[in-house]
Amino acid sequence: MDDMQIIDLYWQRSETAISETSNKYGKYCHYIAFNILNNKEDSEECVNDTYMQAWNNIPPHRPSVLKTFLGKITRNLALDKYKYLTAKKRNNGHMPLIFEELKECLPTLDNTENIIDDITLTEILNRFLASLPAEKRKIFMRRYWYLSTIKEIAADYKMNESKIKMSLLRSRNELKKLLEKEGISL
Amino acid sequence: MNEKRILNILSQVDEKYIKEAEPVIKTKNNKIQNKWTYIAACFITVAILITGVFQIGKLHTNKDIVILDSGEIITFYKSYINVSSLDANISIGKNLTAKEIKMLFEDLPVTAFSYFDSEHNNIVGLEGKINNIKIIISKSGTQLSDTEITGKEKASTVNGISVNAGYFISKANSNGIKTAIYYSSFMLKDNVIYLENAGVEEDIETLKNELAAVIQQLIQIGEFDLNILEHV
Repeated sequence: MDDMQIIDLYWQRSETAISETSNKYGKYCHYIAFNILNNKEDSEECVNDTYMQAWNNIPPHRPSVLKTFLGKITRNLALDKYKYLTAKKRNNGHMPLIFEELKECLPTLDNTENIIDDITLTEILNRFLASLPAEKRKIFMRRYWYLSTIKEIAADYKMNESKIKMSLLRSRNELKKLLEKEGISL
Repeated sequence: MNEKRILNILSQVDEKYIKEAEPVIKTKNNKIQNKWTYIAACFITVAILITGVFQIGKLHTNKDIVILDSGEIITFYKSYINVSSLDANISIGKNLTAKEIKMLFEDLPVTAFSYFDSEHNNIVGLEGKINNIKIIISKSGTQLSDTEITGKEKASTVNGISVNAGYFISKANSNGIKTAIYYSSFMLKDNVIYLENAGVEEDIETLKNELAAVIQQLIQIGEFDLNILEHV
């Protein structure tokens, strides 16, 4: 079933929409959730919550790309759940490492007067992504959007792990430079 | 806290970037398909290796030269660019200050940042640009460049320094444009210098002459003491 038909099912309030979504995008959503939560049950719960949010948002929403629409919901839900589980010290995945890596992107400026809003920061991130060569951008997104492990990215892009690490290191450095050039703080 | 903000805001980036980086989720069908892909790849590899044996001879006949003012010749051999293994425990230091650049490179127009060994905090190299030319300087034994030259036969000699040089021309892109990359590596004391100048194929004369000029200037400057660089 194509995405338009699945979205139509949501609009018709047909519960088949959920099973069709699960058949087509269940594994994709589970992949995103598991990379963040590192736990099968928590990830399944998160994916089920994704279907619920999709059900509540369509209608009135009509996503242009259903897959990324669902992926975004899963990612946000999983990050919220990760925050909750971390507070209860119930997560031992690779997220702390990802946070450590992202710390390197933070500008060293002491400029608390110029803290930017989310919309401006999104615009800067889009500009930063547009400036990267396609391969470097995909590697960056795999690591920090899909939260994939270095090993997995290396296998998917047929590169060795050290090359992936170096690509990420350079991208983080470029992001840091851009943020500093804009003279902003986070 | 702020790194968490970046991670959260990334959710809002343009969907085309999310879609572009989509992972291939492995299913049972994928695994069966992968098995056949693997078998097919084995046959292709054998075919490429057999073809390669006949191609090696051709590669060695392709070379390009630059004659320096001193009369010395740098020979660039048509080569492969290989992806090489990079050292993993490296962190980026800071951008070099004008003073540090002056001390290391005299009047060359360099912009660069340093690399440090994240375990021991020792300087391991730097990366930057001299105009359009990429430069990576790494302490001997540290791999900072993700490319390496293979297929070269003989090194050239400039001012007593042995210089390996090569070039690579890509296949034409969808607009029919080929990219040429001229590169060189040589050692100055205990540092490995890697230089790379890339551009469109039409500009190869400019690319190699610019690169040759920088090779000569760096060798004239001589040994680099990277230990003058300060950590962040």
